Amino acid sequence: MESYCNNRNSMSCPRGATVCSRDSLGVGNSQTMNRCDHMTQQCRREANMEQCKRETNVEQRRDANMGKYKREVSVEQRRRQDCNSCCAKEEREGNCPERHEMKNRRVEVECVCQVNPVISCHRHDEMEHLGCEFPVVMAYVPWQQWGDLYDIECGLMQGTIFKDLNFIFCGERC
Amino acid sequence: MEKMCKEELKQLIRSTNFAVIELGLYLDTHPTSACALTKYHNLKNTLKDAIAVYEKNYGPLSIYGVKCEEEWTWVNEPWPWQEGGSC
Repeated sequence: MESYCNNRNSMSCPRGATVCSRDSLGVGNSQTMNRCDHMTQQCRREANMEQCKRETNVEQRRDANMGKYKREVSVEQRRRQDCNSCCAKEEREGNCPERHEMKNRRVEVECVCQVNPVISCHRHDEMEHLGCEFPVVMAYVPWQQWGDLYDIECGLMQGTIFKDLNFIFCGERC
Repeated sequence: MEKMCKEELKQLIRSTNFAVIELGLYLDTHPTSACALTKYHNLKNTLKDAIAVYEKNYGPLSIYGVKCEEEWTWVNEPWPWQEGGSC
């Protein structure tokens, strides 16, 4: 980008009548030609706009996949809202066909790894064998069952008389 | 139990008392466990007998074990930080 405006046509310059007139009248030369400050600022703004557009395009390309993912999720959310409003009764009764269809499609739509396969969000769940009766994220404490006991001397030294409760914590990774 | 020395009795009381407390905690959440109830009663009786033998031979373990009627003997025992005393 040049540092000043080369446009010598005063008509294109809002302030050309006073700033660029000398050049437009053919009086000016390389020494007398005035810079059009107004146009220079405009060019800078345009340059900044071009830079901004380029950066925006880069950002848009960078987030293209994520944007696609978000749009897909939004569509899915709207579908869910529709389903919640029109099929609430059927859904409560387990008869909402669209709900079942969405449930099957859930992984395809919501997982970012469908857009970016590098990211894997389907790691093996070691607690999967517990089944569906345990909702995710909630904490559970397995119920203690009666089992072998230490003799009372050993129990006092171990801190518990129940062998099942005696975990060896060594301050190390398991 | 009668033949136990003072330290042996004291150690028996310590460990039995701990086991009784542990069983009590278990029974808080498993009140109908027959195994736990049986074990609890056995150890509680053992603890009761051990305390009785100890206090009979060596003096009270707590103020509830003071049996004198004419003089308050609780303070005559060595304190835990004194020679011969322990907690």
